[in-house]
Amino acid sequence: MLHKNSDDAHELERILEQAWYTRQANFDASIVFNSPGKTVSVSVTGSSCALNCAHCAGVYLRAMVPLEKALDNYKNWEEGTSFLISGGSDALGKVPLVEHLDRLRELAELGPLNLHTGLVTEEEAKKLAGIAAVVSFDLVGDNETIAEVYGLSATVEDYLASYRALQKYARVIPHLCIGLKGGKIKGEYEALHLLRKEKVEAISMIIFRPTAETPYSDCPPPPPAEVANFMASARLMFPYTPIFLGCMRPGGHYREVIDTYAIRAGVNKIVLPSPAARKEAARLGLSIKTSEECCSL
Amino acid sequence: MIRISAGSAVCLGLKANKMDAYPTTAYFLSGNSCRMGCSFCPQSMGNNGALNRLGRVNWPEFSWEQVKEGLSRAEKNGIRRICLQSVRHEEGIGPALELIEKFKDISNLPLSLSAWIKDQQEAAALFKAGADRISVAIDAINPEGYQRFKGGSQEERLGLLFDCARNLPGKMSTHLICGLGESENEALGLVDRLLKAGVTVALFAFVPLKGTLLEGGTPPPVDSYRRVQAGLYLLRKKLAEFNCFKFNEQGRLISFGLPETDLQRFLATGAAFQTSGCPGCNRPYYNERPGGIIYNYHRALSASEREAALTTLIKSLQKSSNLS
Repeated sequence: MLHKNSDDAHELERILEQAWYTRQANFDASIVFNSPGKTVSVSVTGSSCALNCAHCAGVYLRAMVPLEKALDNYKNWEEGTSFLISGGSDALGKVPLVEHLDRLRELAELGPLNLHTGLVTEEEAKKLAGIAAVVSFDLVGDNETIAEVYGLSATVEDYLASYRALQKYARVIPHLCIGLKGGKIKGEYEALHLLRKEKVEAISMIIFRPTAETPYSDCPPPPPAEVANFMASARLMFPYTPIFLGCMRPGGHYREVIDTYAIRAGVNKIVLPSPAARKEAARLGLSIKTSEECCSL
Repeated sequence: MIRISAGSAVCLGLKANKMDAYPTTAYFLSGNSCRMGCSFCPQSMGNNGALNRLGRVNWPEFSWEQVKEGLSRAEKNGIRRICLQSVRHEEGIGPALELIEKFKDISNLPLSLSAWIKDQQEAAALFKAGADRISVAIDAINPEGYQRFKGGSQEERLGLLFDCARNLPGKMSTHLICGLGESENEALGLVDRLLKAGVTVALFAFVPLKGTLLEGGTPPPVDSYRRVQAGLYLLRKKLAEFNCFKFNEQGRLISFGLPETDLQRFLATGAAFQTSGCPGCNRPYYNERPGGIIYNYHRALSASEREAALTTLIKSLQKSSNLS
């Protein structure tokens, strides 16, 4: 059902096996399951965004805590709380973090910050590095995707330059959104090739998730077999680099299928794993470690 | 009556030979002589070779009734696709259209067609009749080789193929033959362009066939073929990028731009050395005699075969980089 034909299925099985051998050879037999209950998602722009990208249209900002509220509520945050800092973008694809640097520095006193920056200059990277425990950076490997999804005239080179600038001063986890272009895989492998030439500490993978009230609401998520091939290829291309399956991915049956593939493809962390992931980890003899934070922290 | 490859005939239960390899696609051949003059092909009008052959393979004739009965048990016998190879008929695509409709009446298997089409409208008509995939065979990799061994303009054929691929994404294939005077740089450069355009590439090694103009030719060296096969696989699976490949002045591949450990890991499954092309196509012994060097493995490689193919490949890269 998942495959166009049995050859693809056969080829996928073999690449998954190869990815699994690679994981076994280079990592211990454990996997981290994150349920990020201790990470609070904070938006520096409230629910507004100048880009309203095709996959999000600001919908995901609505559930985030506005920065000022996060600071006002400081008494609510228990020991061990961390903060995922994001927000809407400006019209150039930047999340206006530098503009809120002082307030963010105050928040950083309350717990470690995971900053989602969008595009940055070197100057901004340097400033942000001072408050970031880690930076999550969405890397896109295809100009057409950048134009269609974000509506930006920025290029892959601009994204790469931002990644390099951040990498120079901070701990950065590149995030690759599989199927960002309305569920189609385009530029994701190119992003892996770009990263092979850079310093990479870990890679976080997320998967396009069709969302109501967005231009891509009717686009199906990328076919699971294609996602599996991508994850396995990433494992082969990055045999020693931790690979995470992030929180942003479709739910339901799709999630069960993908989580199972992800484990076979040798990922090291899964955020909010489905029950099927637990089963697959047990089947493959992986011991489970747990974390209550974002995958990048 | 229609001609069926000898191996396919066995799988359809129409012949009782014992074989050491069985096809996973049923191959049919339509027509008796071709308007094209390809110097490597026994079907070519310019050749006086055995017209019952295409590639190394024999194509005995069977009645439509027999085919119908045979196809009813095809899936049980491991057949997953029908491949209809049509010579270039005087009547254009008419005979192919008729045959596709006949096949669709009696079988649910997906059908690949390899035929000479003159424009995108013909491709659309063939898809409408029920073809699942269409191959526009480029065969000769460099333009000079195309002109010399097939005649006509490669650019024009490629143009049509790319146009079709743009408008019918995921539906077009082509066949390429290594060993017709091209360099590995030309071969992989074309492969890269084809893959990026969404064309499925089926790679073959030239085989000199009796009765053809090229009967005195030689197949490509196996190490050269392994380099092109590996390149095709790495590009198809997006594990490597063509702009990282390095070639020497003669166009021989000297590096995939990958450390040897990566190359070992990427190619460890052996899939690179299996028959490429349409899903379900394995064409046993199309390029080679049983018992000799296998250019295109029709099945998964054994551990020792994988080891041997990889060793040939990796040693040849070291050797060629020393040469450069």
